[in-house]
Amino acid sequence: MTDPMDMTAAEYVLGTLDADERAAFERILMDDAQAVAEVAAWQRRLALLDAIAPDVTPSPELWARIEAATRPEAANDNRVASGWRGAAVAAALLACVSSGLAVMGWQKPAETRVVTRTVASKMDAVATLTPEGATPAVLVGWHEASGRYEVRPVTMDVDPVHAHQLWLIVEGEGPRSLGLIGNEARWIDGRALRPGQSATIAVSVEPLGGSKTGSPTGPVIYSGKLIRLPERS
Amino acid sequence: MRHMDDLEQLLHRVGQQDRAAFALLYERTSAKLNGIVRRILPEMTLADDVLQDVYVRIWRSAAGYEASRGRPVTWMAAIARNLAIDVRRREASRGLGRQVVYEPDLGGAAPGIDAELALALRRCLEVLEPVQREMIVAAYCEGMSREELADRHTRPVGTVKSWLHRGLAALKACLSDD
Repeated sequence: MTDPMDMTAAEYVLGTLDADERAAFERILMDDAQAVAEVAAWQRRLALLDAIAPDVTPSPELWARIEAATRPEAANDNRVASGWRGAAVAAALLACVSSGLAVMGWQKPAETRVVTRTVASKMDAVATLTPEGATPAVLVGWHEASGRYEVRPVTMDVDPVHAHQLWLIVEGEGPRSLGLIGNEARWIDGRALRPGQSATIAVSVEPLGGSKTGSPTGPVIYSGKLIRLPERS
Repeated sequence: MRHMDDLEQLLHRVGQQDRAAFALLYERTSAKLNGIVRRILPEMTLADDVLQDVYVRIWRSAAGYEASRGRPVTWMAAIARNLAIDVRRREASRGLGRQVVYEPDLGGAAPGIDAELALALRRCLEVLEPVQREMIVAAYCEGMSREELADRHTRPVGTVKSWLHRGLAALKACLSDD
């Protein structure tokens, strides 16, 4: 008899799951250590098949393209930064959303429009969570009326061996967990975790299932100040 | 590849966004990852774009790499295969099937992995029924879907799935006997 989860892990590594099965299994991988271990074991079992792949030197210009695609774009960052200072916050948000999506290259333009419309119509405060000086990885919006945080990963990669935990740090207080986030947009009930006037939002890398201590235990990979949006008429 | 063991250190530095380490990592691994991508996308001009995406992904996620879970090259190869298979599925859904059949050299040089494990896997692949071995190797190396395997072997998709499962289970049993 074969264990169905183990076979799913094997087919995940093999690459034969269909799109729905794969998406479902990737959700399991986000917080199931057993599934993660099974994937690792299958990767090890099949590693020979990677090793026998022939070496094929890539075309010489490819490195320049990769360099350009990974370099933080100064021009882009400036545009975003000046946007925050001015009133055109929605435009800046559009700029960073679309630059993030352009890098990823697989989101439909239509989705970008939906994101920005939602963002511009209801949000009271927003934080762009970035690693030092790089493209925004996660956008977090605070919606005062409904008491909810809207989390939109932009360029954050799923890490099957760790959890990404979101933290609220209100000025003068310790970090409080807003829960775990993946690479899908989600809403978080923040009625008991309101940001007040000045707060920072951060993402730390934690063991699967999240920090056991109630405080961040792993490195903070992204953070950003929550910025109040100007009142709009 | 002589410096495979340094890859862990390099990846760690890439995780801290060290660009010099990233350049070195590319120099050491790009031919292998390109080979892996091109087994899956042999006749497609998209392979360069995929390889670019692979290294962008490595740059962004290197901080999450954990040595206890596998060798760096296995981790990077998984990223390369996943992205290449995504593109292959997308192209297949537009009716662009694969023309070139990849002939794996299972006995060929296998740098970068544990020699004992390589030996065991070679032996265990050999004891599988030929059709099961072919399917597993074609799925892994060529990125064939169950449907494509069904076409190639003129069998229903359900049969392909159960052959794959039987082959994988036999492989696992064989490897744990060692």
